[in-house]
Amino acid sequence: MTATTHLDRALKLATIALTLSVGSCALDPVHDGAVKALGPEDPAIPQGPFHRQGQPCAVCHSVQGPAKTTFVLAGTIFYGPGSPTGADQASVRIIDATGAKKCFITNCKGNFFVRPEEFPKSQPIAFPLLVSATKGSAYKAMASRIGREASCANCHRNPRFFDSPGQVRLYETESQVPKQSGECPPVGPPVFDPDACKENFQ
Amino acid sequence: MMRRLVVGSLVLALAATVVGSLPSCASVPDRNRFTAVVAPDFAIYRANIDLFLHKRCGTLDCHGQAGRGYRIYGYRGFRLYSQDAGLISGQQATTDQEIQANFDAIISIEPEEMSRLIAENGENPNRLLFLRKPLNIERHKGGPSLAEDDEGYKCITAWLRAPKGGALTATAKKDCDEAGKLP
Repeated sequence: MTATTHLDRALKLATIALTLSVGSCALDPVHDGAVKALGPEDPAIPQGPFHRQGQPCAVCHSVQGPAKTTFVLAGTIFYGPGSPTGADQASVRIIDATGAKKCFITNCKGNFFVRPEEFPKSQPIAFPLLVSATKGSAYKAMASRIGREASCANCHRNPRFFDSPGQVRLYETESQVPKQSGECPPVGPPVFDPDACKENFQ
Repeated sequence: MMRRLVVGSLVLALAATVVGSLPSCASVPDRNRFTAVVAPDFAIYRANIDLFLHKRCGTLDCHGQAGRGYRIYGYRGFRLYSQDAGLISGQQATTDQEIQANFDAIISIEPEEMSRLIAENGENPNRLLFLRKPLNIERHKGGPSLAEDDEGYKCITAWLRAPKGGALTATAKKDCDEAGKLP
């Protein structure tokens, strides 16, 4: 084998290596790391609206994926201070920077999500947002605005600390939490109370 | 041919070694050196500016987080970490130390430029990165978040023009009061 053949092979290998490295530039290692940090799925809960309660939804549900659907805002509302139970049928009220008011209902895991399609194409959701959550007599409003974060859980983490106000919890004590009934995920399609999300923003 | 390849590789390796060793020739930083700053008035900042910036820019997903070069501390978002104070986001009122840290953070963005601006009585305030970013004159991750006809902008520029130990004009005070009403 001549030196020229060696050189040809080296050049081919270098070209392949360069092509591969350029291809890998399309990946975002920060996003990749954030997705991996979420850990595996709970085998008891299939992928869908009831999964990954309390996790930052828009890590995966963003244009970068890997989820197929995109959320512009999503999160979980919990019941009491020590309860891991999501608040079912709670209303999440949003007022965006244009003054558009929208209301979303949590499912039986306390999860809610806002898709871009929920807002008209001519006037998409505009941050910052004012957000409050309510269920029955329980009412919680954010003290600050949401500047641009789509996942509630990126700021609302457990435990409460200098950099987080804790998870969103509707009740101050466990005794206030209403008794739960029914299966979650529900056997049939979830039933929403149309009166639960009245346009009564405060 | 083989010999030329070997010689070429050696020359490349030598060049890489020389280039790589150049940064090590830099001088050792002087730990005693500091930059004195001609700062704007703290009392006006504390009474009129801090709350507005905290509400407008200091949410946990913007400048109220450890990842930001310009950090804003306060009740509604990021707290100045102290084991003794035990400050929790959304619980205790904004402390004096947090307001001081917020003031220092603004001054420290461009200390020399801030000094020049204050020495020139706040003329042409948009030279500050602190204003160029939210006005979107310079790329801002959070997009435009201030406008020149905004009460908050008028309040900030009035503060930068105010003499040290002085007070805001009645018009500027009105702008600041309006800016502070931000939800």
